[in-house]
Amino acid sequence: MNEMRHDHDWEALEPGLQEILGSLRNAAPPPDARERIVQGAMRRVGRRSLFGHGFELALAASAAAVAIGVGLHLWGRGGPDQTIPSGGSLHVAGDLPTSFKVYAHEVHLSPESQVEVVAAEAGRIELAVKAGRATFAVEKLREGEVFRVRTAHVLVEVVGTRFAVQSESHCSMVTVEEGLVRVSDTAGAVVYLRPNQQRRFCPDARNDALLRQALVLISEGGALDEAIGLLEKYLSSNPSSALEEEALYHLCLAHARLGHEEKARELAREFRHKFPESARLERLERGLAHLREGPAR
Amino acid sequence: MTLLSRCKAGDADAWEQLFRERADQVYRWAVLLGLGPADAEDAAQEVFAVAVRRIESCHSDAALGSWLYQITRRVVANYRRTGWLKRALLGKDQLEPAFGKTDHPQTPREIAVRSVLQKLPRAQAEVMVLMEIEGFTREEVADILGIPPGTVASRLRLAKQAFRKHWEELERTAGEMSLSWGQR
Repeated sequence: MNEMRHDHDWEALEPGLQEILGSLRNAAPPPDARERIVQGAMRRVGRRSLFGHGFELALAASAAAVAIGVGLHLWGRGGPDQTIPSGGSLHVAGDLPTSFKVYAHEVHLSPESQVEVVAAEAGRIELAVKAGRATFAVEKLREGEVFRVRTAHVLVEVVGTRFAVQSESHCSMVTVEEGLVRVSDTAGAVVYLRPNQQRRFCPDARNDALLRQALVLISEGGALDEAIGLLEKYLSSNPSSALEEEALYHLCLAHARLGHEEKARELAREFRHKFPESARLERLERGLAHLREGPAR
Repeated sequence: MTLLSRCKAGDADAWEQLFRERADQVYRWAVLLGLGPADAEDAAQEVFAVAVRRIESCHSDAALGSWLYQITRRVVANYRRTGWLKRALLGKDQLEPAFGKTDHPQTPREIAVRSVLQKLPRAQAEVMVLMEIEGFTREEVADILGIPPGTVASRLRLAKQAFRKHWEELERTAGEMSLSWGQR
């Protein structure tokens, strides 16, 4: 009887229910999320059984592009570049994927991607994914040998594997195909990823807390030393972050207020170099003028 | 050749077609089964990865939807099992919009329905999603979940009772958010 009463009540709600639940019937992810799902899934298909075909197609496309003299951004040369790149060299994929080798290890760049070779020495290889996505096929490492990949958000250390790192504006995605990798985020947290595991690292929230805390200290006018420490920590763990401009600006002024003239001027030069169009530049110059006019507060 | 047979043959175009056709559905299932948008996105990729590995176990194109759903519910269950730690660490209790922008007029409804579904026992919520949102019949749901049709009916009845109770609580506490049943 009780159930019948509930059912009756439910019937009374039914028109509204149908409308509301029905509105979710065709609910879909945002277009960019859908594309990420499809592309992520396609990568997995590629490595299951079609990698060879896809790779051959990419090679054919590369060769054709070179042959007809197009693809100015394409660095691919029909297969991974066998030259061992020097530290500091930047590898860029244009409209087509490209590959290069660092010793025996292969690096495959997706279109519109950039990878910097930070170090390429026997026993120590360090790369930085500056933009886009790169896949790494790492040969078995010898004892003590290091293979690292950095983004603005994570440091991936290889334990002998095949994996991909994708650098996005606020996050990095690490996908492991084979073997094992150790990933450290900017807050120092470490996770191990195994085959078919994928993890997105978006460390901004925790690091932004450092910046917020520093700004609170500065706004309260005290504990500038502590604020400087927090800002330096934020900047070292978030190179090229979206809030770098703000952090650098306040770090520079905090040093100026403490009378650290040399340091403040050095940071101001860095700020001008990195953010020449910044609206904060004028205010920064005014703040530094105190250094020229007299003792710091 | 059917889409399924082309996928089984390792045709990359067929896989891409399948992913594009089913991405919305799998993502929606993951969200309605309780995942946030970021996890749902990752889970959808994981579902397709499993599909790639297990495609031989799908026996017909007509069964593709229910087969994918069975994978989705297992993947989502894994995410939910590990999600408690993430929620505890990050304290993310607030639901984020999964299907549109924060200021989209439908977003409050979406959030409200998802929050009520999360309060339902998992088995009941699942039946409700499949029948009331996805439009499967009782027999189809019974087939998907591997339970008798009578059990589906009873779970749906209980789900409706629980849904109504939680919805009314939500209306009482969040009336100022202008949530309503529309015609009610």
